[in-house]
Amino acid sequence: MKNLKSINYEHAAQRKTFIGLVYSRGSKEIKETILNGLDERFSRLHREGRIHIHDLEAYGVTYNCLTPNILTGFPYESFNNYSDFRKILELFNYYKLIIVSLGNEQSGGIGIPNFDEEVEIIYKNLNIAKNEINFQFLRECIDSFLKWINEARDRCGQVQYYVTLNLGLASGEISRYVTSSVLTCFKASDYIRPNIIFKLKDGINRRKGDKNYDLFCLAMNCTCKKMIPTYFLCDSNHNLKVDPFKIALMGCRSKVYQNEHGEDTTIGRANIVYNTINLPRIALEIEKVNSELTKDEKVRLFKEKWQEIAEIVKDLLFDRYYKICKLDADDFSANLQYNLRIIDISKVDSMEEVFKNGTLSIGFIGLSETIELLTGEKYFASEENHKIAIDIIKMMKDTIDRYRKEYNMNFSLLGTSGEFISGRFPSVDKKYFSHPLLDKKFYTNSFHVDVDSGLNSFEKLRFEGVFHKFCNGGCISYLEFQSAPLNNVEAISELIEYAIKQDINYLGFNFPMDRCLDCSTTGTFDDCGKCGSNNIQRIRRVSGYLEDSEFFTQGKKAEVAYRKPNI
Amino acid sequence: MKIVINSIDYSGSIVDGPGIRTILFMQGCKRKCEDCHNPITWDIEKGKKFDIKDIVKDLRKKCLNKKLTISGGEPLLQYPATLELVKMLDDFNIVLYTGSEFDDIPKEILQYLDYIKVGEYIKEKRSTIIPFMGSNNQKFIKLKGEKFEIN
Repeated sequence: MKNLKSINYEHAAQRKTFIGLVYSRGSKEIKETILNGLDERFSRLHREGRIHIHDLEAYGVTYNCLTPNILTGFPYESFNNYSDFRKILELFNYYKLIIVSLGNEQSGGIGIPNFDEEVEIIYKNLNIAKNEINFQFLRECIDSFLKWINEARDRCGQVQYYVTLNLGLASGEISRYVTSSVLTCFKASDYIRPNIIFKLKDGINRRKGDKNYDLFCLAMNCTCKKMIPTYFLCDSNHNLKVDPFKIALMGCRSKVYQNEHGEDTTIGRANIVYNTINLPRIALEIEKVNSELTKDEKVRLFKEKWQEIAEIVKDLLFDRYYKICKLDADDFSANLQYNLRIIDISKVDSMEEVFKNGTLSIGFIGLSETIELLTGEKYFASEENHKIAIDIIKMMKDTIDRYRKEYNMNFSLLGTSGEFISGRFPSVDKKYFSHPLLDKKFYTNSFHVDVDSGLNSFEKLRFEGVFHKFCNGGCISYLEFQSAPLNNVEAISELIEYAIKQDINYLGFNFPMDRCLDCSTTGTFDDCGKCGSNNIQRIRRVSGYLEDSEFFTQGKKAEVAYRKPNI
Repeated sequence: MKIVINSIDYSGSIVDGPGIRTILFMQGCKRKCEDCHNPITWDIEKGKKFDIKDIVKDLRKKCLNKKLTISGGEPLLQYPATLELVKMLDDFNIVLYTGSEFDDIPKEILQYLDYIKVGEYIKEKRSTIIPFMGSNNQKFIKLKGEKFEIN
């Protein structure tokens, strides 16, 4: 009998409980059953580590993540006779209810597209008076809401909710108060969740003189201390034509926007499923079997082999998609009851009408290792190699765009975060191949340059920026600091401006964040910089969400050990 | 005029003043603070001698955001050279790191600086949680602007 201590972490939000144990064992068995029931074409790729089928236990049962449309279903009338305080309480209870229900109904995260504006609209529609005492209470409720997201481990009996609040654009009085409250409370707290994404847009908050410039400064101040928020750069070239209120990101980086079946928007839409292709594996095979080929021939062969796998992955995505399309609206009771979707679920004949608005994503990991295997050098070692890297990513995007057109489905390319697979892929590959690249025990995230590249921040952004526009299913670039950039808003602001010029979609700043468990001082230290205690919690970010490094997966631990700062 | 330096770090620091900063490490320091993070800069004989003009030329070429922190070593040990350097970089945003106290610093140089970090490093007062400083006794002072503000 497995005991609680022996649970292997598959993601860092997991903790050990009795219900959690039951869930873990159950999901393991379900995964095996599902894998055994799949067409061998699909299951073999997964078992051999050529691809990873994410959230396998959810296969045919549910979708991945959702940016719910909170506003359509909000039950204003039920709160009519309540006091202002009660109305404010119920507003946040409603968010919690949706988070809890969705947490049990889907496999992935929950993104709130414009938290500031939504709260303002609900606040006004509930006719809550705008006075000092209500505002004070609103701020307390926001803090309490953040605290709950940070602490609750109700999901699957052991897991925190993956919640992301997008904000920063709305300029109404209450919206601004909401954004400033979220940032102020988060900065003052010990919370490492929720994920907060500040949306940056010229004319709204990016420059001195913009109405919400003060909120941007507040956000950067918070980032200097807490790594959160991260920044969605709406002024990057490939985002310029998009209405920033209609687009939002998941903290893990997933992006849902273009829609073949309705309005281009993120709100009310989901990523149905994503699968990730192990790029270094293809390169390892070429290296072993076709080592006599020239560099160009190897790259060409790589593309062919990737296309063969992508073709199967596309079919696999369809298989999973059609399985959930056959389910009933009742199987998604929270989606139905709270009317969270781009279209009204209660009025559709088939769930396909709902899910066709979702995205099917093909992800990738280990571009850096791949280029090194194919050319003998890192992709950031020369402009020539960088070009090869760009060419490969462009080929993937072109193929996926072709699928989008041919099948009239929302296929997209995802720069996968690879929390679990960054370790799984190389450990499987080691069974088949021996290569020094496998010794470090993790593959580099999506298209990122190696974590020990030693490139400075500007160079890193320049090399990675060019990939962002291809990853319409989401991606992020991180900058890695040696220590917290305490009070250095100017540095954050310089880097953000440079990132926009490099066409970066989504930008995050990482640094070792140590917190004294005795006196709550935060900074970067061995022993506490204030009281000298050695009772220190070490918070790090590897893929999307901040975590206590004690609970990292194997691949994440390996990556953190290899990291070198970009500055 | 000649200047003796240890090195110039163009990788961009975020902990030596506001913004992303290039660091010029001057050579030579007589303080010999215990736990100094840069003892290789103590002996001025071990530095590299350059024409100030050439240093300026290099900085103009590589420090694109024009944010420079002059550290060391003790920059004021070569006061005439340091003064000459900051005069030639009057369009740069400059932070000077010195172990001297504010009142002991020649006033003429202050007009060319944006910020100055003053006070020697005291091991017992070491801190890793105050922006831009090594120990609690030090001060980071903003110079440009209407009046001096202490951060």
